[in-house]
Amino acid sequence: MAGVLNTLSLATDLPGLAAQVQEWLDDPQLSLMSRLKSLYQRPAVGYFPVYSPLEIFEAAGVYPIGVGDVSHDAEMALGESRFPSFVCSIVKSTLDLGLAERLRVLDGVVFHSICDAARNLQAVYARNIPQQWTDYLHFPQNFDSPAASEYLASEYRRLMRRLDAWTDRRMTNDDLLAAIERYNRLRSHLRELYRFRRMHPDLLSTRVLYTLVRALGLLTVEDSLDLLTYARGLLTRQVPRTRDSVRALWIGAFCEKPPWDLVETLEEAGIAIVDDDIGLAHRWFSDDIPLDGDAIMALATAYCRNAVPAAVRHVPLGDRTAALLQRMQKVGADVVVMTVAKFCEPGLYEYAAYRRVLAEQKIPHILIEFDEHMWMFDKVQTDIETFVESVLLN
Amino acid sequence: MISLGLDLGSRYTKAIAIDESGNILARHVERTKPPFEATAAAVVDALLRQAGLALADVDYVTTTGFGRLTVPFRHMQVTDLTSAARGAAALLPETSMVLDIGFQSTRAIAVGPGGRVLDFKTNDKCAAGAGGFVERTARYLEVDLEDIGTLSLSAAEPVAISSICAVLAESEIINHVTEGRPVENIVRGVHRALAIRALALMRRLGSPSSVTLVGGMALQSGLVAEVQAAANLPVLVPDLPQWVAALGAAKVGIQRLGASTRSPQRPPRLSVLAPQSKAVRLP
Repeated sequence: MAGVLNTLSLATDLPGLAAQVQEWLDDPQLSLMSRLKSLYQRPAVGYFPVYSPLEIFEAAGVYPIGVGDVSHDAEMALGESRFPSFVCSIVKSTLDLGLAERLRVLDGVVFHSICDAARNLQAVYARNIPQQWTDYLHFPQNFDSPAASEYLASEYRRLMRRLDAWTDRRMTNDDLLAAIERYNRLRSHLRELYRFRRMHPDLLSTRVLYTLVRALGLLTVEDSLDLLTYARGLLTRQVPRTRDSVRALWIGAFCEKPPWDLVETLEEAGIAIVDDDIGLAHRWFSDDIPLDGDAIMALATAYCRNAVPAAVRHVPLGDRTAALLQRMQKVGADVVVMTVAKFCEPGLYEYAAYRRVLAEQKIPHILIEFDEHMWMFDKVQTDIETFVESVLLN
Repeated sequence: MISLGLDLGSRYTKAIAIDESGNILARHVERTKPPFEATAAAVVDALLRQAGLALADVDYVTTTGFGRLTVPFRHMQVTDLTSAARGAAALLPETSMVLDIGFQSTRAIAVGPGGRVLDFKTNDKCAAGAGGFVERTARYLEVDLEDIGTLSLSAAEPVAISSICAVLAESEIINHVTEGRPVENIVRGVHRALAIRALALMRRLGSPSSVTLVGGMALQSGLVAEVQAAANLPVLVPDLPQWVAALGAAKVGIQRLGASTRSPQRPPRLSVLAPQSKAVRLP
């Protein structure tokens, strides 16, 4: 462990480590990030969820921070004053963090074309927080077109030129390949953690895994690698908890992060999550990106050809529903828990198609609507328990 | 084999003991008071005395209702949706849709064979769709709650209660009172409002052939008539509808005991939560 984690006294069990990591996430001063930025002498760039080309930031010598991973308290009067009430919470909370100067560790923020609300956020954010530069990446929509990869590569090159000018350096192909190699290793670690939970959901809870995955949004890639390596070393020390449960695939457009208590409510009700859509920024590619040739083209092609399913990435509905069924089979899930943030149009659009195919296949499923600031879980608890009982008592 | 179902509702706590054939051995009810575990213990204690049983004679304790997680001597808990569906199907096997208008919430449950929950919808946080609204209405109108059902049936011109918000609906009721509307018309208007909201929940679940109305509100004949009119469906009301959830919980216990008997390699106490020891003594 060569990075900053080496200087911290980390807990020696997974729940303890998760609690420690959550303190970093909940710290309103973002102390850890300020410390990392100062230590590494790197400018910090925030990225809006769900996916961002983190390899480019790394190659540019920039410290990427997931603005969606930073905890936000329920009051967001500043954010709500700039957006109508029917816009999802993550848009308002991101702006609120900026206006409240809680993102002052950042030098810039990169947004993406994932939905209409996010499109508008970039312009509103730039106008209200002019001291931070912003950029906006347009992702392609039609992956059947051979031009999609070329187009995305050109978008990436534009971003790189902007980062080069800002950092006063010039990224090389080797810089980018080295960054891709680091993120390939990080994704490999995550695949192993997910594989472990799939096999032993009683040993690795989603509450713990979620916390670790979310922490990656605060750390540099090297520190992230250290954290996951350390966490994997603690896996075998867990004591299994015997209980009735149903194996569930947990899906949703998690731009907006589900509250910790929602995850606990799911698990306490008997939902054993064996795969999920959390933290896709660090799990976006199902396989390693090739480490030779044109790195930019490899990154762009991977986005078009090798990305995991996500509500915010345009894929024809038929392909999505087929992929959902294949995924269920692959991970051995018996039920599907669909979680949609309030006012999330991509999530609801996807839900309608999923619900139809799951009903046709007679696969038990349930929809939970959430808000990142929700604090009452009685109804969710009753709904989920009833759902679990309908499966277990069948 | 004796199974005990314990329904800790927000108003009343009910316990019912059945044997493996489903015969009811005893039942007992008391007003729910905090601390809930003490109320649960008192109700079970009274039930056992009534039946001439000791806690050691009971093979399985299943709790339900909003206080289901507070009972330390339970083997398992199920939600009031699961228990209502199981209980309704036990009493009326033709049940395909259960409507439970409880004190705090209204629940529509699509039910499959044996009382399996196929799908369900509950009203969110609005008390206008729940029985507590009727109780407050009775208080405003200075009418005994027990008389509400028959009073409602005598209404000639039910008033409109349009709001979905309990606070605003109560303002509407006050307006009707000041306008001199007969009390029975106001009560019937409240029942109609409840029925229409319940129908909205049921319609999201499909098109059943009948509705089984359970819970204490099913004793109010005016409400039964309004549900029937709103849904344009036969409304089935089991005997003692307020006991359906406790009975359903007890039936789940019998099912679990049967499952453990048939599968000896499985733990004898199957529970969503880690089971508590039966040795826990009632205070």
